[in-house]
Amino acid sequence: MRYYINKVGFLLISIWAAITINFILPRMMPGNPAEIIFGKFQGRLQPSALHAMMIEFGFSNAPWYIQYFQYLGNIITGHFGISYSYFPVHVKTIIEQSLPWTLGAVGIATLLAAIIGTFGGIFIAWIRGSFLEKAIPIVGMFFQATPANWTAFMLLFFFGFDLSIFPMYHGFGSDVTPGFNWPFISSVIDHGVLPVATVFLTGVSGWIVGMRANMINTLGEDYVIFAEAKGVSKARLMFSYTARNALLPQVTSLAIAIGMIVNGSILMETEFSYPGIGFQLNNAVSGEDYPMVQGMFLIIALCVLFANFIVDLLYSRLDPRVRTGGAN
Amino acid sequence: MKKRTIGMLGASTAVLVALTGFSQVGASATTHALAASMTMKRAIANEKPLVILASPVGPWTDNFSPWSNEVGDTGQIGLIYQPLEYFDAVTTAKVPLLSTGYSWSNGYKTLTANLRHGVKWSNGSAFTSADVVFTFQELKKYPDADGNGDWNVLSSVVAKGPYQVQFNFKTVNVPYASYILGQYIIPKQQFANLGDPTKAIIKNPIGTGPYILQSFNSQDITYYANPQYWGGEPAVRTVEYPAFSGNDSADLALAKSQVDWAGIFIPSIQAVYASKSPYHKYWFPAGDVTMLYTNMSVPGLNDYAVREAMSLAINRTQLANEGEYGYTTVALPSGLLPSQVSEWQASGLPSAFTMNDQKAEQILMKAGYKKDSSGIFAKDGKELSFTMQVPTGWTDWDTDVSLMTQEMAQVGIKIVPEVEAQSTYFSNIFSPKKQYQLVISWTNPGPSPFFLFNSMFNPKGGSFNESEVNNPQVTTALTQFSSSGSLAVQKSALAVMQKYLATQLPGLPLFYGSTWYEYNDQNYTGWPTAANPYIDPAPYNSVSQAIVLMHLKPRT
Repeated sequence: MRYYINKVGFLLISIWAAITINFILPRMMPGNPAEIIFGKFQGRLQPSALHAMMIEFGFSNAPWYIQYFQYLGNIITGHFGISYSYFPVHVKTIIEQSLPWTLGAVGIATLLAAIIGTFGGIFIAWIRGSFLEKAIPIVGMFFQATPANWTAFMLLFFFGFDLSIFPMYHGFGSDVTPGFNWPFISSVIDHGVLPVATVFLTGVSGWIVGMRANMINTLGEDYVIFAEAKGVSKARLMFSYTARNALLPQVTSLAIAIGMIVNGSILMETEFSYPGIGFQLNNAVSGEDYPMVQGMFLIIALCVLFANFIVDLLYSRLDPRVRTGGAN
Repeated sequence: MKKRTIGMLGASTAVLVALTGFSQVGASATTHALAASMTMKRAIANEKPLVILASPVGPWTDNFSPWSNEVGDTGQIGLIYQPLEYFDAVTTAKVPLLSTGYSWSNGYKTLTANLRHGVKWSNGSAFTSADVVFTFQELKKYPDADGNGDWNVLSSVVAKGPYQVQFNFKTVNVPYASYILGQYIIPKQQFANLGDPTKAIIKNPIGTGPYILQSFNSQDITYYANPQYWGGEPAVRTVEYPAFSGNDSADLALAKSQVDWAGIFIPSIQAVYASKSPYHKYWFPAGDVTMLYTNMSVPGLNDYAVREAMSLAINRTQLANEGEYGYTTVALPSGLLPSQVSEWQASGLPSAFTMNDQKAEQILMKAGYKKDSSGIFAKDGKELSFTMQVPTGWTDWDTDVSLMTQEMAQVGIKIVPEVEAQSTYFSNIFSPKKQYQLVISWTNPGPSPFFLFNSMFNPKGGSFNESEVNNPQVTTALTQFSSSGSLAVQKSALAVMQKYLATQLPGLPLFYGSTWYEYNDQNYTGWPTAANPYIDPAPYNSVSQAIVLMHLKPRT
C-alpha cells in the first residue's frame, strides 16, 4: 500500500515540476515570434504589419508571477492558448488534429518494434553461435544508425516513386472522406505502411540487442543451468524460464518508448508529409510559437510521466521483489 | 502470461486511440453546408482538379480568414477575397478587379474609385460601396488588422453612392494608391458582428472571387468554380491544394505529374523534373534584387572606396551560376527588375557590373590603404575585416557567402562569415539598431521601383533601410516622387535614386531573387511564360494566382 501511495505522490510532484519548467523554458528563448513570421514573408509585408502582429500576440507585460498563475489556471481548464504561427487558431485544435495520427503511426510502429524486437532477441539467443546471430544485429544497427529521413526517403523512392506500390505522401487519399468507413480506413492503412516501416526500422534494433543481452545474462543464472541439467526442453527453457525474467528490463524500456510516442517522428513526417505532431512541434520551436511549444511539451511530459507511472505499477505485479523492497 | 496481457493491453490501447483519433479527424473535416449541396449537383466526372502546391508548409488548419498566416499558400486571397485593383510587382501589370477605374483630385489628396456593377458575394447578396467602407473602418478600429498601415496615410473613407468610394489622404502620397486599392475587401454581413477580424476563425468564407470553398481537411483543400463570378465562370472547375511538409515528397510528386502547378525550389531541375515529361515546364522570372547590405555606420564601410572595391571583387556570374544553380541572372547597377527597365531606367548609368580585382586594389591604395603583413588592406592600424551574416539552412545564400569570402580575399579584404539561426538573423535585420556589418538579404519590390528604393533609402519609415542610408538628396527625391502624379517628375526623381545606388553603392546588388514556378500544361494551357509574361506566375502570390487560373483553358 505504501508503495502505491509513494508512487502517486511522486507522480503529482513530477507533474507540477514539469508544468513549471514548461512555463519557464520558452520564455528564456531569444528572439521574438512576430519578427520571425514577418521575416518569413521576405519583404512582402509592410513594417506596420510587424507592429500589428505584436499587438495580436498580446505580448504581455504583466509580472511573471501573475503570468504563471494565469498559466496554471489555463492548464486546468484546458486552454492552451492561441498559436502564434497559425493565429488565431487554438493550440488545442492543432494538437487534436495531429496527435491521433502520431499516436496511430508511431504508436503502432513502436509496439511492433518492441514485440518483434523482443522475439527477435529471444530467437537470436536461441540460435547462438550461428551466422544469423551475428548478421541480424548488424543489419538492425545499420538502420538504427542511419538518419530516419534517409530511411524514409529510400522507402519513399523505391516503393512509392519507382514501383508505385504505396502512396508517396499524406495520411489518407484525397478521394476518400474521413470517418468510420472502409474506404477511409483502408486508405489510412495503405498510406501508413511506409511511415510505420520507417519508424519500425529505425527502432527495432535497440529492442533486439537489448533483449539478447538480457537473455544471455539470464541464461547464465543458476536456476537456468539447473533446469537445463534436469533435462527441461530447449523451448521451455527459452520461454518459460529465461525470457520471462529477461523481459523485465524491456518493460522499463517500453515505458519510456510509449511516453516518447507523442514526440512524433519529425523526420518521417516531413518526408511523407504525414500530418503528425512531430512536424508541428518542430515548426513551433523554430517559429518560437510559445503557446504551441508549451502545449506540446506539457502533453509530452504528462504522457511520459503517466506511462512511467502505469509501468511502475505493473512492474510491481511482474516482479515481487520491487514491492517488498528486495527483502526475502 | 503477464507479458501477453501487457502486449494485448498495449495493442488494444493503440488501436483504440488510433480509431478515436480518426473519428476526431472525421469530425474536424467539416463539410461546409453551402458547398456540400453544390458538390452533389456538380459531380463533374471527366474534369480532373488542377493540383496546386504553393509551398511545403505542412498540414492545413481550418481557417480561411484573409488575415491567417497561411494566406499565400491556401489561395483564399485571390480565389475568394478580391481587392479593388491588383498591382503586380514582377511584371508591372495592373489588373482592375472590384473597381473599374480610379482618379485623383484635390491636388492628389483624394482618390476616387469606381466600383464594378453587378458583383455578387458568394452567398448571393450584392457587393456595394458599403462593404468597401466597412473594410477600411475595420482596419481603423482594429489597428492589428491594418497590416499596411493604411490609416497612417488616410484621413477618411467615404461612400459616394453604392458604386463609388472616396479615399481622403492626410498628405500627398501617390504611390500609396497601390496599397489602398490592393486591400482585399471583406463582406460586411459576415464580419460585422465578429469583433476584431484578425481573431476571427472563418470556416465558411464568403467572397466575390472566382472560386468557392468546397472541402477542407488537414491534408487537402478544394475549391470549385463560382458560377456567379462577375468575370465569368472559370474554365478550371476544381482546384486542389494538397499539404506537403517537405521538399522531397513534393519534388517526387511533381516528377510524377501528380501536381500541376508548384512554386518550390528544385535543384537540378532538368534532371529531376523537366526531363520526365514534355509537358513539365518551368520559368523563374526575377522577383526581387538580392542585395549585400553594408552597414554604413561601421567604420570602414562608410568609405565609398571600400564599397566600390568590394563590388569590383565580387564575381556575380559565379554567384548566379554556382550558388544559385544558374536559375537566375546578375542584377543591374540601377537596382531595377528586368520588367521595369523599359519604363524607368535612367540614362547615363553603367549598364552592367564588372569584375576587376586590379582596379579594386588600385582604388584602395589610392584611398590610403596599404596591405599589412597578412596581406589585408589596412589604414591607421585598422584592417579591412568585416563579418557577413547569412541565415543557416538557406543553402544557396550560404554558398554565395563563402564564394564572396574567397573573392574578397583576392583583393585583400577579409570577410568573416557568420551563419546565424533564422530567428537570430531576423532579429538582427529588423531591430532598429542594426546588429551586423555586412548582411545578405532580399529587397522589398513593388508595382514600381519606387517601393524598393523607399524601403531601402528612407531614413524615416523605410521598412528595410538595412544600410543606414540618410542622404538628403535622395530623401528629397523620394518625397518628390510620392508627391507627384506626373510621370515626368516621377521619372526624374527615380533617376536620382538609381544614380545614388549605382554610384554610391549603399548596398551591393548581387543577382535577382527568383520567383519559383513550375507548371504542367498537359491538361490546361494559358500559363504565363517568358514569351507571354502577363502576370506573376508564382502559385504562392495572392491575387495573381487567381488571375492565372482565370486565363487557363482546357487543352483542345
